[in-house]
Amino acid sequence: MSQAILAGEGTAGGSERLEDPGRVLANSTTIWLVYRAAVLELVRRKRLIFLGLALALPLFLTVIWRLYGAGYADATQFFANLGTMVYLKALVYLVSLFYGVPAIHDEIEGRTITYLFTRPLSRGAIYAGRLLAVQTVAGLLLAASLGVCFLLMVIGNARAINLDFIELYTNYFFVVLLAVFCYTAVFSLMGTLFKKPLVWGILYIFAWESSVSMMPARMQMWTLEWHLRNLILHQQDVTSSLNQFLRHFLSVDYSMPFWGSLAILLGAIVVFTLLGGSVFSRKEYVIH
Amino acid sequence: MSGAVSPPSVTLATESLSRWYGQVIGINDVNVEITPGVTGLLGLNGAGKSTLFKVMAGQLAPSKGIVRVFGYDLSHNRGLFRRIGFVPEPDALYESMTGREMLVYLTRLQGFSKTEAHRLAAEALERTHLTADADRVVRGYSKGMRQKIKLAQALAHDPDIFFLDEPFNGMDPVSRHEAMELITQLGEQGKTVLVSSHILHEVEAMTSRILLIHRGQILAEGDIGEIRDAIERHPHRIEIHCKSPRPLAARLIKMDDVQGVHVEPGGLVLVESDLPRSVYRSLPHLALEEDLPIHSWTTLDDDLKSLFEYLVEGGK
Repeated sequence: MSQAILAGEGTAGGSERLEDPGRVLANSTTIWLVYRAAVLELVRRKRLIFLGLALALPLFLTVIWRLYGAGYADATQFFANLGTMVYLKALVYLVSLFYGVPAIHDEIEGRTITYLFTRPLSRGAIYAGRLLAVQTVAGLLLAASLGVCFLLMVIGNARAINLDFIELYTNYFFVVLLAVFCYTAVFSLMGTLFKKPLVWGILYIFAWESSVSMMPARMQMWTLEWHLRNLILHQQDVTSSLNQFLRHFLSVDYSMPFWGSLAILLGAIVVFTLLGGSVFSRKEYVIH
Repeated sequence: MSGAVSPPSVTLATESLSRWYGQVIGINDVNVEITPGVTGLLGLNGAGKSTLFKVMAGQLAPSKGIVRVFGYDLSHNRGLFRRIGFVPEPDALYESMTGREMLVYLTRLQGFSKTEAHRLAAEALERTHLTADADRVVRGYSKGMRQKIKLAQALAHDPDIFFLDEPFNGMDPVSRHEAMELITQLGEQGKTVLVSSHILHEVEAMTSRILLIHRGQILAEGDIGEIRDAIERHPHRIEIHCKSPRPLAARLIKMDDVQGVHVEPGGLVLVESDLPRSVYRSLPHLALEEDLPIHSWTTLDDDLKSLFEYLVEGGK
């Protein structure tokens, strides 16, 4: 018999290992092992290529700006538009949807969850490990895209680097990462709840986040997107988009302090993660 | 934690175990006590074998009843999974991992250190004859290799109780033989092995102890020899395609173990026999020595299906 961290020595049919049959593997160990395996699995998937192509879109736009657009918008204006319209309005949703929904749903659909359910593990820890893994990979992908974008903007373009631009860039970098953590938590919860979470996720994006965040009156404050926008320091730079026009036209200017929105978003991550973990722990998955 | 109540020799027991899927009964009032060694769980497709396995292995919660592992209620003692090895029926694997990575990962989740998990994975790969392919990505495995890696992940942490749900599906004859030998060895080592199949002779090759499940209920349990006798007493139908059906039919009807013969159009003879092995033995002789050419023969009664019909209908 082999030496085990938890399981003591014992032989077949013996009862030496039954001192505490209720004892499961430590949550921290489970989270780490599940996290590592999930990251490995995620980076080997073909969807990484697709997302890599999607994340190259802002880079392509940046090259176009460097070649033809520098006269029309300075680096700060251009990046403010890119950050809002491309990263926050499109890529954050896309990446979160592609990684958040399958965080747990892939294990269920792929029926590999059987292996985890027949091991001495807490389901909450499995959920946390998987969610952290998708958040890491999704966050790294967006961070890499933002990083390359920054380099494309500043290399050989020293005048782009000023305090305003650095502040704006750092601000967007932080908001984009926060956004992807929030939405992956939401979509991961959907993956544990629904049979077709992708459909629910798309509905959530278009019917709730994108639409309600544009609605007049206080309702928009119930969307995560509104709070994410509230964290952006240079909203005045984004002047050319239809969304912004509609927002100014339709909305009463409800205000909330930066820290209020930040607390709500961090709270949303915690609440959705706990909800997802709780659903996953209680729900029974019949694997055929 | 629930207290131990079963006698020590019973490693696995169920008490009034039932599981419903809405209005559909998966298993109903299953009471079994299983001791170390290999036990075959036989049932037709849809009989409830997989549901029973899933409930017994703690993957599904029972609608009613208890599963006891070493006397402890499994549903309240997840730590007992350290002593359980489960081979699920679905063809589900971590496709992007190599066989070794998958085994090390799943063994570490049983609580073993990295070094130990590597050693145990290597041993399990060796025992399932997968060492040569251990570092290939699972996605590229053949069906037989996929079955073997499923078996290996159940073996690696050296559990005391095994649930093997249709473990031979898709295996070639050599792999099947190797897997059967391995399962037999596990039983001889004192492990409790519950192996499901819908093929009687597969189970027969590993054990004489079987449980028969039908429509979610345990229909019979005991020695396979008694079940075999029941099969032998149950009339079988054999379909023979031949060149001269009437002379063959005339010859067959004279045999003691043949109850009836019907000649059908197209060179077809239908034989009813309560000892089909005797008929099978005679056919080559009839074909060669009595010049009654036979193209092919086949039994119309799958062993297990006919057995269940016999047991359910009381041999009518």
